Amino acid sequence: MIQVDLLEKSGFKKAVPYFLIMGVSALLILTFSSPGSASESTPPIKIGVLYPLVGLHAYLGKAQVEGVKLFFEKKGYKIADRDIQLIIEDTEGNPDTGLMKARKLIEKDKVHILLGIVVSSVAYAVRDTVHSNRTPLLITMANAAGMTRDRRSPYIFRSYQADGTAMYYASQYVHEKMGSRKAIFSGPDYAYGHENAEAFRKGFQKSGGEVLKEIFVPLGTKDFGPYLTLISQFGGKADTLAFVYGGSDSIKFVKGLDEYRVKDKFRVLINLGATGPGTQLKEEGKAALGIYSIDMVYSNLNSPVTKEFLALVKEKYGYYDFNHHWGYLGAEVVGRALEQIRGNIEQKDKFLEALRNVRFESINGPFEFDHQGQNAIVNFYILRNEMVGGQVDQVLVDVLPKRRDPWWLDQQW
Amino acid sequence: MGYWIVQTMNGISFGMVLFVIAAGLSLIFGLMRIVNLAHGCFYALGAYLAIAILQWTGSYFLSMVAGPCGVAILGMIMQRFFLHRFPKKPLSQILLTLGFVFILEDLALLIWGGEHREIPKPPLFAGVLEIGDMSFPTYRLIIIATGILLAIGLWLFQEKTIMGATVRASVDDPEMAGGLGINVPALFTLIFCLGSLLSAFGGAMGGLLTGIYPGAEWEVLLLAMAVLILGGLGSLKGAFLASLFVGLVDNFGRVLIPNLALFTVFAPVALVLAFKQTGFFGK
Repeated sequence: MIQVDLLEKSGFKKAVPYFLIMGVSALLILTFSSPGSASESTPPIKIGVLYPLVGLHAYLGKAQVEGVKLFFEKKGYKIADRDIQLIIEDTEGNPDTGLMKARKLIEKDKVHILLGIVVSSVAYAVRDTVHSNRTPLLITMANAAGMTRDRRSPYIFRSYQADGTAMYYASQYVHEKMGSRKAIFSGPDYAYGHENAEAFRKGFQKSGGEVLKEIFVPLGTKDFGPYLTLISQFGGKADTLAFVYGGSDSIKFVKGLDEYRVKDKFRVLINLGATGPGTQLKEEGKAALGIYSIDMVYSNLNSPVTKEFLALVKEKYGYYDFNHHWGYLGAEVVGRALEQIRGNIEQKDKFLEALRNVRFESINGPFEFDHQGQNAIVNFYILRNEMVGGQVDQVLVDVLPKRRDPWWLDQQW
Repeated sequence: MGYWIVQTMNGISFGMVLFVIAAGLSLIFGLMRIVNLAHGCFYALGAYLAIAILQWTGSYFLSMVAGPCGVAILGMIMQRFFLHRFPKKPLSQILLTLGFVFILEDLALLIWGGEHREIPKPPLFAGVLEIGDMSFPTYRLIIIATGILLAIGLWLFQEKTIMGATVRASVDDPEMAGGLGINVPALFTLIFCLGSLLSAFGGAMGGLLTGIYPGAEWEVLLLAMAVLILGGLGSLKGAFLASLFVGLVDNFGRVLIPNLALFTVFAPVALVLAFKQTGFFGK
């Protein structure tokens, strides 16, 4: 009797229907909230994707994310019957933000693998965190040389070049194959320009050539006129002009080469990154004609793998950008290593070994890793800008097969 | 020898682009003492519109002329409906024009994207002048000529026409001028339009020289202000000479002392501010 009174007083009886509803809902939720695929018991493989999605480098990051997604979509977001979960974070091209996001991915999201990074300062910023947390990182664009040299780690890989690699081999190519003997180098006045100048000089001197002058243009320079005239002055003494520029600078510089008739004053002009297909060639137009370039990617590569990839990109995104290559390539390297270990990412050492031994015919040509620095060994293509079907495009002139980071050949620097 | 001549002409051509922008700023800030942070945006719009009009019509003439006229109308709207409410209130003017900057910057980003764009040069001006074994692009010669003609035109307008006298009178003593029957508010709107038109024309010219890209508007505003400080506010002659000075000092500074390249423009500004605040010819 008293118990019934107590029950009524506390309102428990009224609450019973609500408890019933909650209990049934909970049961239903638990039943239907499985990951929703064949492998409900194994958690997904989590890949943290780190790219700049706002700011100066956003155009690079955006296309690379698209490349990464393209690869995993092709695989149905599953490798060896295990789900792949991509967690994409924006580094904003800024080392502090990049480090924060990397920590978040590692500590909070507990990602198994990190993929991406474009800006070198971000790469350097995350290096220690990645190493101490033993999280495998595949860098798809940052050419921060130290990451696969003096600051390397068994967990850090790069599917791109270490700064200076391209210019090193370019210098030797122009000497051996194009008769260059005396060269002028030009680039932007910060680490990127200086590191490439140094690499060019080392390679060129090793072949027996001489760099007469290095002309650096400060960031934020509005008018390249004075520098182009300065370079022209060496036209009589040097036979080759080598340069590296990106973004707005590259367009101003290349247009200036035409305006000031610098192309007439040097026999050989070769560059890295300044006359790429897309915005650069479009804005530079005829000014880019006759200029050579060196790159690890050639969009018109006569390979079925490349052609299939290009078709896929255009179909999915409606446009094509060379940055799609870097995202896709990085994703494929990780995907193949995962396939090799049948998706058992928990066996980290086996995964690292599989990654180290990845070797296949990629969309850019043959791909493998250098076991010393864990940097990519890839083909370098010598290209020349010519009129193709009424438009300025890149034409393949030569292939430098399977080149590795020259620092490992020549550790004097 | 050819090398030094070409470098001098590089400096002068850059200086002339600066002059056109500074002349516009001189009218607005120097003469009317209105702080217009959107002056750089007018420059950018002049360049972007030149590209757009060239695409639509294929006419180089229209692209250099119609764009600046369009920007002049924008300037008129900005002055007539917004800025004229805040005479002699620089902080309000700064806030207001800054708001315009954000809107105009984003609009440009939306329409033309964030990438570097070049203004194609008319085939007539795509040649070079050979001086010794150096080449100097023809279009830069045209820019120098345009800058000089504009300087002469503006000077004649200011000193030798009734209109110019009216403008000077209205700025010196608006009450008196109003009392004489001059429609001072309308005149001020007109001057603002002219200043905006000049900035946009400077953009079309500068776009030929350096292309256009996000951020150019601030670079240009900074340089124009440096020129005004050196030349003295309100002086056309000062703006012209200071533009030449900045163009040449910047050019030669970069080739002779590359490490101090960023310093060469602003060091003279700092010196002038320290010793003669009103600039070379300021009032």
